[in-house]
Amino acid sequence: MSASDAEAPKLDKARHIKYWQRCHKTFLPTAYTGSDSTRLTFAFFIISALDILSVPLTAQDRAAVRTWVLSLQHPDGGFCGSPTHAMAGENASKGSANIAATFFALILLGMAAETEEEQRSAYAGVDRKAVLLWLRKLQRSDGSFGQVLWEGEPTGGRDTRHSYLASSIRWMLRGSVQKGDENWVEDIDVERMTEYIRSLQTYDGGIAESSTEESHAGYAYCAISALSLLDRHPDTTADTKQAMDSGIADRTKLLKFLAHRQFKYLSNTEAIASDGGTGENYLEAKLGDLSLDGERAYTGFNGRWNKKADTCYTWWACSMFRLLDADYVYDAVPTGNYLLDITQHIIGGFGKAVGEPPDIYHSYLGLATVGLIGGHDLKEVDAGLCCSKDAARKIEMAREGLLESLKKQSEQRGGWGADEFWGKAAEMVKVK
Amino acid sequence: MPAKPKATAKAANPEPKATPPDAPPVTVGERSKQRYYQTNPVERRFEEVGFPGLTPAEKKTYTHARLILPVANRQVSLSNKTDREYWKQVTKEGLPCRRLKNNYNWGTDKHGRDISTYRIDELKKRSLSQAKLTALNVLHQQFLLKREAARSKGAKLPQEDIDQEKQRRQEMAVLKRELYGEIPGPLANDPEWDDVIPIPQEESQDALARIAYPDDYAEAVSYLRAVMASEEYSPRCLRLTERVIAMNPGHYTVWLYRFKIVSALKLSITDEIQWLNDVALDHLKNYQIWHHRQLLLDHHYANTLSSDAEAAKQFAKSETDFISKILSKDTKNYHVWSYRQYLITKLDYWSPFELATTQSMIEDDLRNNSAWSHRFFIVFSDPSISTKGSASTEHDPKVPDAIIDREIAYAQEKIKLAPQNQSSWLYLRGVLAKGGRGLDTVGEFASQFFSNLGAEDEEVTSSHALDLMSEVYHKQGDIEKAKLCLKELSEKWDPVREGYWKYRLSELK
Repeated sequence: MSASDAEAPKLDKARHIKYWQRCHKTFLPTAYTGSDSTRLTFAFFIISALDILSVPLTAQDRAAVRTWVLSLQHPDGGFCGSPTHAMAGENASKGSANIAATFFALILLGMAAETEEEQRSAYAGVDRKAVLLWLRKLQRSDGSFGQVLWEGEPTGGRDTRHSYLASSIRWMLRGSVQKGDENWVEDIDVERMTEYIRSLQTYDGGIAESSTEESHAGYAYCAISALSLLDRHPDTTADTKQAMDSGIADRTKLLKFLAHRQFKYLSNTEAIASDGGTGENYLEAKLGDLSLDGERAYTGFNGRWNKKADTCYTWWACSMFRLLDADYVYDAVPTGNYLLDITQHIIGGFGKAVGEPPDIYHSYLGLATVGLIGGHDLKEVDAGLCCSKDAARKIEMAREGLLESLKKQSEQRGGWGADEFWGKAAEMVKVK
Repeated sequence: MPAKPKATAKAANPEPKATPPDAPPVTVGERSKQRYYQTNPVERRFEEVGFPGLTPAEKKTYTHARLILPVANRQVSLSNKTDREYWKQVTKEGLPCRRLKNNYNWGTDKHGRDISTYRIDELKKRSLSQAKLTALNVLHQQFLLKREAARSKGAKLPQEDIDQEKQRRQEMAVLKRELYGEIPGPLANDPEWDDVIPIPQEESQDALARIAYPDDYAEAVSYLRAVMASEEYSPRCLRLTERVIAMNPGHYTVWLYRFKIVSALKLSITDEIQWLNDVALDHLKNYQIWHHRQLLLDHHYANTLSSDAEAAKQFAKSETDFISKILSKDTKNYHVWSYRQYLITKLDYWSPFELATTQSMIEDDLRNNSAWSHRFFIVFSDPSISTKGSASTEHDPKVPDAIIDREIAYAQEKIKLAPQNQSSWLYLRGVLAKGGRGLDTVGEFASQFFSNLGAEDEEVTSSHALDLMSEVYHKQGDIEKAKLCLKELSEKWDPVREGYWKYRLSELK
């Protein structure tokens, strides 16, 4: 073990816990008003960060998560992004459900469950059928998904974020129900979805909003993760690679694009240059400029070619390597060094880049990456769902519990089918 | 009939001869206390020395003053005759039957401060404000009645009245805020919105991710929720969306609602675009703004531009002008570049001008990958020289050789200026794929960026050239040389990607 290993930077867990507890228990500053429509997303970041940090929630807090999340459910399927978009009582259907909110709501419900019994009933109160049918309506004929139904039509971008969210929601609720079963709900068009994702690869091997636009690691992650969730089997049988194989047009080129999201981060120079005006471009290391022995190495990640390092892209890239079984493409040590030494903030959380204050989004994805890489006494992280593996397991339990209870309900109806019962009773009355 | 109590005249003049005159009171509480003593003779002496300590005269006054109270307060009723006698006596003796109570409760103000601690002048000011508010409220009620009356006749109030009422409500809002800490928002103060019952969002104590909303936002949103629920599409709603958007441009339905208003009222698209320009400049990273613009473009195209080529050209020109303006602030703004592609496709605006602007952006910054990416689109998606639906990664035989040659030369020229620039190398590879040409066709070009590979004096000025040549050597069957390129990249020239180069090595057979 060399000297630099011994002094490897550490995750200041106590500070991160403080940061997230503050976010949990106090009002977010007024500056977050511009994010009012995505409060469910922020709630997910907060609760999930505490989960990854193994900070248990009180029974009261867990009940509050459930109550609040369920209060945002839309009667026609899906969840609204925040109380701003949810309506109560007879106006409830005038609210507006959103695909991202629905994804985060379902994870939160799973995460808020503790005992096995709670986990199995975590989705009690979720209108599974309505959500799955709503999801179908959000899919367009080209295979893409919208974010909101507006006057019955899917609206919003056609990018892979929505494909990813749709794929996740489907995985969380659908289960292995077969056609003909009572709880069968018409599925989304998986084939079209896969074909659509396949069509998005750009000339440089990356994935973009469309194949003619600029490749982007965020869209690439969403594409790959969407495919991986299509392949993730709801029951115990082994996962397949079917969607992954048919949804990626050129895997070699994609890997090359991903491998190049990382670069040697030149700490001193960027810190100085950040206000000196190098603009959006990262600083090219001098070719073949090797680190001196013992000097700590940093690997930063960007989202597009020639752009600067950003905390969140360590997540989008590293989790993609995991999903593609390609962890060998990057070196976890200098990547962790970058997060812990450069963007980890003294008050807890992570900033977007060097010298930036922490914000909820980057703090979460920074933490999730550290959890993904491993060590630092964090829960293991699920690369596809962007939460702890523990939470992912709870979600599976929640889904199975929901399907079981639906099955029971239908069996009860089958035996003492309401119509049949009242029909017979009516006949008996007539006879008398 | 009992005689009317006329005690005030004389009772106001009780006897306290013994007590020295008080210093003028400073606070309201002090004044109340003084008045209390003034109307309750001997009370202060009583508090100081107790009943036994009073002089006989004081004892008499004190007792009489107490005795008369049950009758004065009608707790004991007397016969008419006795009552008359009683009042005669009270008047004659000047007994105080109208007495202020002790410890008068003044209440608290909006800060929770006890009003009895106010200075006299402070209270005077407060009372004046209260009076003013009451007066304004009377006028406000008059306005409401007048409007109701006008409405029942199907008429409208003159604008002057409405303007006055607006002014009045502003004054009332200021007073209410000053007196009671109430913060009626600007919409509640606007008579135009009187008929809308706002629907505030429900916020429980233990809701998650609570935001410290500014007051105006909470109000605007509660009105927005109401008008969206009642599906009102009107000019005032358009103004309301502007209010909400200014505070929360990420609101995902206010934009759709706004578009609906614009189309329902058949408002001018160019006016809307003009308005949107300023919003876009204020919120550079917002996505909804560009989605809204796209909806406006679709709408404008369907109604006007599709049948008016000249107008379409004009519109494309003004749009690209604005796009250039916004890109000058943020040269790699993803949403802006996306919209630019959408615009060009929609309006069929494949102009040489478009190629020229991209070119000048690349010249400004050789590493602007967004500009390179746009160039690829402009060149290879132009329907006049490309196959519709051809994937970005595949050979398109329809593209003329001359264009492939031109683009190869362009990329090579830029590579020479900055051999380590990723964008230009990627572009070069992209062009070759489109032209169906092998990487080996640029082998000679790439070879100029390194020399003496594997030797002591190895020189490399572009790692991308080595990468490209490893593929060329591989294709030519020279596995050893291909391996050498990757080995040198892994160990020497690009060690940050060591894992990737090793994987590439392992794939070589």
